[in-house]
Amino acid sequence: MANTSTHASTGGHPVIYVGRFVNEVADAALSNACSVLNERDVVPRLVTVLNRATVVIFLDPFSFPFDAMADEHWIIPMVVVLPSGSEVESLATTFGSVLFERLGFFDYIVTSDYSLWEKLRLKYGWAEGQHIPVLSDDLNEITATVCAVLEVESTSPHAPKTVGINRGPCFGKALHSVQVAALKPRFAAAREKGDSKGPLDVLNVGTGGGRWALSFDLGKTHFVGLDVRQDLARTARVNFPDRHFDSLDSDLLFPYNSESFDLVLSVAAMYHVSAPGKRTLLSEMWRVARPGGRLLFLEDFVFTRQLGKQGVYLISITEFVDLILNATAGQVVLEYVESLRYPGEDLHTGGLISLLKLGVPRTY
Amino acid sequence: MPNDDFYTPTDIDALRMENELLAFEVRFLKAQLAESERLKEQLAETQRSLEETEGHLVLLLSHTANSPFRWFFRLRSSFRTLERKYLNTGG
Repeated sequence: MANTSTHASTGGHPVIYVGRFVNEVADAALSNACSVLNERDVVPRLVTVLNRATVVIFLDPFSFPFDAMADEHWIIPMVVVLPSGSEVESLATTFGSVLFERLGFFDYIVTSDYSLWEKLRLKYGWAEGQHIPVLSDDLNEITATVCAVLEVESTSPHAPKTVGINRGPCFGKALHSVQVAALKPRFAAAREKGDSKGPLDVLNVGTGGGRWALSFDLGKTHFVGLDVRQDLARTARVNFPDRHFDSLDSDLLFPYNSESFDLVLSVAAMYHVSAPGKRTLLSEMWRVARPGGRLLFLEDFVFTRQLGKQGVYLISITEFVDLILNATAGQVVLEYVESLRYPGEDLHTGGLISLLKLGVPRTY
Repeated sequence: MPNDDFYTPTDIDALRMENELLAFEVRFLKAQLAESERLKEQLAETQRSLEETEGHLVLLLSHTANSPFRWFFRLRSSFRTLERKYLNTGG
C-alpha cells in the first residue's frame, strides 16, 4: 500500500520568490493571497513557507538556495523565470542537477526567449505546455501572466494538465508523483522484456496531455497515446511533437492492428466510460497487446466526494476484474496488485493492476 | 474523531469499496506468498531427489571401482573424473 506526504495538498497559498528584485516588483503585482520571499528572509522562513505552498514562482532563481529544499517540497509545482539572453550551457551548469533535472510535466519555465526554451526542452525532455511565453523581462508583467496561467490551470475542469478531477496543479503534481512511484517498477519490468527484441511498443489509453510520454526513453520506446477527446490529443501532440498521438472515435475501437504493443497502459481513464464502453476498451486493449505483453491499469476504485460530483462511472475493483475476465475470456494472468492512497485523502482510492496476456503470437 | 468520540462513517459506499480494494490486494499478496511457499517446497523436493540420485551414483561408482573390471573402466577419463568427484579418490 503506497502513501505519501500530504502537506502540499491541503489548504495553502502560492509563494513568490522575488530574491534580489524586491524593489522592482510592485505590490500591485503580488496578490494578497501570496507569500513573498526575498533574498534576505528566504533562509529563515523557507521551510515554514514551503510547507504551506501550493506553487512556487521563482522570479530570481539565481539567488534561491535550491539545495536547502527538503525532498517533500519537490512535489510542489514550480514556475521558474529565466531571463532572456541566458546561455543554455551556463544555465545547465548552474541549474542542471539542482533544478532542471527535477522539473517535470507540472512545472513551468517562463522566458521570452523561444530559442532558449526550445534548447532546454530538448535537453531535459520537457513538454511544450510547460513553457509560459512572455513578451518582455518586466517582472510585474511576468508575475501577472504567470498568475493568470495558474488561475486557469486550477479552475478549468478541462485544463490540459488535469489529472482525473481537477483539484489544482498542486494536487495534480503530488498525485502524479505517487503514480510515478507505483508505475516505475512496472515500466521497468516491461522494458526488461522489450530490450530483447528492439524498441518497446507502448500504448497509453486516455493519454490526456501526454504526461506519461515523459516516463519512456524516446530512443528505446515507441510511445503512442490515445484519447477520446480530440482537443487533448491535439494538446499532447503539441506537448510532445516527436511522439505519436491519436484520437479515439466514439465506437472506442482502436485504429491499430492486433498484437501491436508490448505494454498497454491506462491511468485514471476508465471512470470516464460507462460499463459497456469499459468492456469495449478492455477488449480492445487486450486485442492490441502482444501475447506475453502487459496490460496495466491505475484507476480509482473508490467512490469519493470529488469523484461523486462529476457523475463518473466508477466501479469497484472486483467488478473491474470480473469485467476484464469477461472481456478477455480469462486469457490473462494477474501479475501485480497494489492499492494507493493519494495526498490529502483518508481512503485508499487508487488501485494498480498488472496483467500478462496469455496466448501464442499469430505472427513471428 | 467527532466530539462525541464515536466514529460515524460518512460515506458507507466509499468504505465498502476501499475495503474491497484492500481485501483484493491482501488476497493477491496471500496468493503470492502461497506461490513462493510452493516454489520453496518444490525446490526442497528437487534437492532431496538430487541427493538421493547422488547416493545411487556413489553406490554404483563404488561397486564399479571395486569390481574385477575396474582397470577397464579407469582407462576412460570420464570414469576417473567421476571417481575423483564422488568417491574422493586421489587417482
